[in-house]
Formats: sequence, structure tokens, C-alpha cells
Amino acid sequence: MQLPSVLLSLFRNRKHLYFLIGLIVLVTVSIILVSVLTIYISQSELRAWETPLSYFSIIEPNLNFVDNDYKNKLVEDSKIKKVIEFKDSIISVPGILNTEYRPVLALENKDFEVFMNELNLKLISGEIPQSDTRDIIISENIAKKKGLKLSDYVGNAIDDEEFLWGRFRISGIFEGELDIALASLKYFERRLGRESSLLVLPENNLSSMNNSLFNLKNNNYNIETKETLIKNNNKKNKDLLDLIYILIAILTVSLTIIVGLYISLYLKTRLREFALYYSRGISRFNIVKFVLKELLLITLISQLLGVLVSYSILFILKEMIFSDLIFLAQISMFDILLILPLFISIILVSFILAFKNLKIKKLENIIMGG
Amino acid sequence: MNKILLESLSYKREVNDKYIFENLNLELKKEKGIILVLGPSGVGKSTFLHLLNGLLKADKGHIEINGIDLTNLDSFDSKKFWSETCNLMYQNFPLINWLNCKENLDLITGKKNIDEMLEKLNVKDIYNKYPNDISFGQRQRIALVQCFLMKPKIKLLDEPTSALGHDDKLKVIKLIKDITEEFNDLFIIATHDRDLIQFADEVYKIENKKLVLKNNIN
Repeated sequence: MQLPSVLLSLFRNRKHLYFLIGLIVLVTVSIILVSVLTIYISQSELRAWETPLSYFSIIEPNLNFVDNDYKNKLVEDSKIKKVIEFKDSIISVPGILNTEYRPVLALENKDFEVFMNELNLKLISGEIPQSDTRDIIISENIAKKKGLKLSDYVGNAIDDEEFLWGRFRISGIFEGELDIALASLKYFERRLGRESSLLVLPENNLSSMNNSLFNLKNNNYNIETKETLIKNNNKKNKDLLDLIYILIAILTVSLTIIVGLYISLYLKTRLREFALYYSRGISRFNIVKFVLKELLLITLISQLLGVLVSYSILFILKEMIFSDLIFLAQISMFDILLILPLFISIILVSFILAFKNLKIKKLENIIMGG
Repeated sequence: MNKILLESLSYKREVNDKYIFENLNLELKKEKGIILVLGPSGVGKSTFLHLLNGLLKADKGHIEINGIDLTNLDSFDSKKFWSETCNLMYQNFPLINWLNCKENLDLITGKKNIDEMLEKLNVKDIYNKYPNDISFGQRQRIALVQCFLMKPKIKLLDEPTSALGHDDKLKVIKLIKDITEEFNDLFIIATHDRDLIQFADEVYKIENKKLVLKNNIN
């Protein structure tokens, strides 16, 4: 006698498996979405600065001024194209939970042209901010998402929920890859004080410039690159990640217990069938293997389905429910890997239960009419 | 030639600690045919088949079938024995409920053409139905076909006609008779149905914890 096909068995017994599949799908979706959304919400700073820091790096003085010797060294470095003094703030953009913002960089008027050229930003309407005025230029995307147009005003003086201080007049809108706003350094200095940070643009390659910056490192300055931004962000989010791990561990253990109970029940309902195989000369090992293949396939199919459902839910959230907001959450490999413990524990439990339920004595008792 | 040897076999039930067989000796040398084991319910017919099948272990004595020592637990390989030497069709006519009758039989035959046998047993029309959609008698007939198609030459049947009407019962026993002739199979049938006696080559009765040969039982 030969064993039937595992796929046929799954297909024909599907009515008994809907609950199990549904349960695994539900928990898989919960794990993925909890992870995606929590990490997304905690990474608003990263989203604001990651793309700009792909073009330049920042040097922030710990003291209240930039000493000229250090600045000269930077200017003379062949890896650095341009050193620009700047101050920064943030401007809110519509996002979920009102945590989304983008950088506002205040530059000297002479630096606008080179900065915009280097970052491929092109003014499509209006003009660059006049020196020492409340003019601000914003990216096309920010204008669209915030519903702003030329000559509109922005700032927390007119909108309590706005992160940008004061009141600024939109003097221009530009297009480009970066979501930022640019304003006049002089005006910022007048309102916030004279101390500025340095923005350094690379001659050719950003990473070789960053290496050079770290070689010139002076304890009076902090260097902020894309890498340090990501590193600091991960450090800041460590507690949050620990919380996610705990939550996922609780979900995984709870589901494994329920799945274990259900698998036990499922195997009991098919015990007569397994006894039949055994009585026809199929070894217990091969029957257990058959059962494990079935359970492995169910788990795999359910988790794949869970991943697909997660993608669909996220798509619906992004494209339909929050389509007016900036909502860039994406399922990463990290989120998918978080469902691996669930897979391993279900397989482990299946393994234990298959051996426990398919004991030779039990099978023989059924054959003998027990 | 099939050879079944039982020497000083004793077996007692665990439940009440009473012997069902005590000091039972039997030597059967037969190539093919039908051997009936008769007796009322509870006398130990099924137990006898389970002992021959190696499912139950004798408390004392020795069982040997075609040179295989069933009482030697170290050397006895039940998997090989059941798939090659001796197989039991147990009482509740097990079929896999989620496979239709044809698929159930395919597991044994590997999709061999068995139309003639199906015709004889009057089960061709239920071939594509699922076991839960047919009557108990029909299930029994399919289970019997499955048993007939299996490789072991020694086939143990536990009450194979219990769920069948008179006509079907005769059809089944006649088919068993044909199969013994055609395929040289040896059937050992435990039953309380005396209608089967006329088709048997040898009839044994369980009496006083022994198996007694009854040649003139009619």
C-alpha cells in the first residue's frame, strides 16, 4: 500500500483546516503590521533626514560657534566641494498620527544656487527667499500635501499644529527628489541667534568625503552623516524594538498553544486513517512524515497568505484610507523575519504532537477495534 | 506452500486475567483455500487473528508463519510481515473517508484494471462515491476488494460478511473462493456465520481454549 498524496489530503480535508489557516493568517498579519507600523511611526526623524543626508553631511558645533581654523581645513579638503553655513528647523507634513515632518534649511543667499544645483532642485514658480525676509521656498510635494501655494503663509503663528516657528511667506516652489524647505539664514539668525551648523557637499563621492570628515574630527563638533543618523535612530528605537519583540513573543506563544490544541484534535479525528496505513504495512515513521508534511505545508501556505494579506492591507491603508497623507510604510525583510519564530514553533509543536498522537500502541488498539 | 505453526500457545486477556487460549498447538500447511474459525461472540476469534497477525503477543508458546517467528520480538518486522506475508482486514471495514472508492483501491493497486472484480462484487456503480455516501454493506465490499488486491498471500478476515445481506454474502464468499483458485491465496476467516461453512476447505471451532478441527460440522 502507498500513502495518498499530501496535497490531495490537504485539499480534501480543507474544511477541517480553515480555522487553523485563518488563525495562522491572522497572527502573521498582526505580527507584520504591528512591526511595520510601530517602526514606521518611530522613524519620522529618519524619514525627514535620510534622503537629504544622501547628498550632504552636517557638522554641528558643540560650542556656540564654528572656529575658522576648522572651517578652513574643511574648505581646503579636496573631497569637499562646498561648506555652507546653515540653521535648521522643521515643517510639518500631513502624516499618520501627526508625526511627519521635513527639514527646513536656512542658507545664506549666495549659497542657494550651488546648493540647489548640487541637489538637483529646480524652482518651478516664484523666486528664492530674499535675504533677511520671512520668505520660504518649499518642494512641490510638500506644497501639494499641505495644500499650499505661492504667497500663502505657513508657521505656528497661524497654525498651532505647525512645527515651524513664526510665520513665513511661500515665495517659491521647487521640484526635485528632496522634500525640504529653504529659507533665509539671516532671518533665522535674527530670530534664533548667530550660531550655525555646517553643511558639507562632497566633491565626488559622499562616503569618501565622510571618511575625510571623520579623519578631521574635532571633539568640539558632531558629524551627522546618513550612517550616524541610522545608527542613532536604531539606538533610540531599541526599547521600542524590545517591546515589539515581547509582543510578538506573546502572540507567537499564544498562537502556538491554540494551534497545538487544534492539531491534536485534528490528528485524533484522523487516527483511524493512520491506523489503516499502519495495518497495511506502512511504518510509523512514514506516517509521521506524511502528517508533518501536511502540517508544514499548511503552516507555509497560511504564512504566505498572511504576508499577502499584510501587503494588501498596507496597500489599502496607503492608497485608499490615508491617500491624502504622507504614509510611506513598507514591509521589510525584517518584518517578514519576525514571523519565523511562529513558523518554527508551529513545526516544533507539530513534530511533538505527531509523535505523541501516533504511538504504535494507540494505532494497534484501533486496528484491534479499540 | 503456506505454513502456520502454533506451539503451546497461551494468551490471556489483560482485563480479566483469564486465558482465552491455553497450550494451543496447531500446524497448518496449505497453499490456498478458505479456513473458517467459528465460534460465538467473545470466544476469541478476533484475538486468534490478532495473534496470527502479530498485533497481540502470546504470553507463552511460539507462533511461526512461513518461517517468520512472530514471538521473537527482536527479529519480527511487522511492517514487512503485513505488507508481504500476512494481512488482516479488521472488523470495521476501514476506508479513507476523504478518498473515493476508486482512490482507496488505487492506493493498493497503483491504478490496475480491476473491473472484473468490481463487477462480480456489484460495486462498480459506487466506484466514484465517497465511503460516507455509501451503505455499510457497500463499504464492506470495497474494503474486501482492497484486501483481495493486497500482496500478502495469507489474508485474515474478521467477520467479513457481518454487514451483508444473504445474496451479497454469497457473492462475497464465492468471490473469495474464486480468488483462492486464481491467485493461490489462503483466507483465514473468523466468523459466526454458519452459511459460509459450505464454502470452506477446513473449519475450526474454538472450544475449551483450543482450536478444534471440525470436518463434519454440517
